[in-house]
Amino acid sequence: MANHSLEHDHSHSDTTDVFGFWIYILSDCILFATLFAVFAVLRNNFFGKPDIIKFTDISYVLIETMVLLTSSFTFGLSIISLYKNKLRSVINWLIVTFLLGAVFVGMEVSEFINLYHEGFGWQANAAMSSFFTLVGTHGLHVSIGLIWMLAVIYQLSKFGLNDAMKRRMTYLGLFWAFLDIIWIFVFTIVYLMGIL
Amino acid sequence: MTTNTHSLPSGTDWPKKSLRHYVIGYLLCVAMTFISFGLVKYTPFNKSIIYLALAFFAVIQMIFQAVYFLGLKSNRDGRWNVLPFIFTIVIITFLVGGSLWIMHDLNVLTMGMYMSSN
Repeated sequence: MANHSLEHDHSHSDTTDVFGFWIYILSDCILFATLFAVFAVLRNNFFGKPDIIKFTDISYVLIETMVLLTSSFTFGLSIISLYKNKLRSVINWLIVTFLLGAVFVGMEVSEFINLYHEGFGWQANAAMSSFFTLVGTHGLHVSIGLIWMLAVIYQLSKFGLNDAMKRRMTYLGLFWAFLDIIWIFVFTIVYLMGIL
Repeated sequence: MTTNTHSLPSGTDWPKKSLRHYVIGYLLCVAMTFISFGLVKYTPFNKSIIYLALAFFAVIQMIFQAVYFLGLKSNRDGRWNVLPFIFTIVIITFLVGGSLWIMHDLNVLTMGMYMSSN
């Protein structure tokens, strides 16, 4: 009896907690909207340098996009295993998601290093400044998500699939999907519209 | 021992998503990604049309990702999630739209003749 009422309290706080995290995600969207607005205004301020983004290798960005999109999918597979209470499967798909995310970050860092060495670092002009801030902030979010993912993988192997872990997977899932949504706008606005 | 229904965060009302659900969402998003990239790489139309198409597909893909990967829906619990989402869209519209409008006007006023690139 006492246990049952405890669970009711839990369920109310669960809805509120997820809702709270959702509000955080939306506030993060506004942050990105600001960076997009700045990028839109400054993207053509080249200060004499050529428009390097126009010459981006489109296949490279497509691969990055597919990698991140697939990682969202594999996270979904992890969630399915969560509902089936298959711990090993949850962890395995999380590891796959992590690897895909790591590939994405690696590709992005590689691109950044390349740009920097070719003289198009964030100090080159306002366009690159806003580019690095926008794309870099997204990459930073992904990197932090990866660290979080490692923490969840560790906790899952330690605590198994209890209520707390299922909540955490929910939050991480929201975060990871949101990052892919932001990326949709990054590749469309920064790269595709920049290459046109 | 707890049963299956109790082991889910019970307040979130998250129906068990099937594999099919995620596969459909994934394939839809892949398709839209390829459409967007394809439009740019093989440009048969003029730029303005492609810009519009890109924006359109970006928004559509966002909605698909929200529905299939985020589980955004308008039912009992989902309704709470949709409202702040719409509010965020409104804020972003003012923020981005307003910034673009203001900066465009400033460009016009300070340069006499508006130059769109260097």
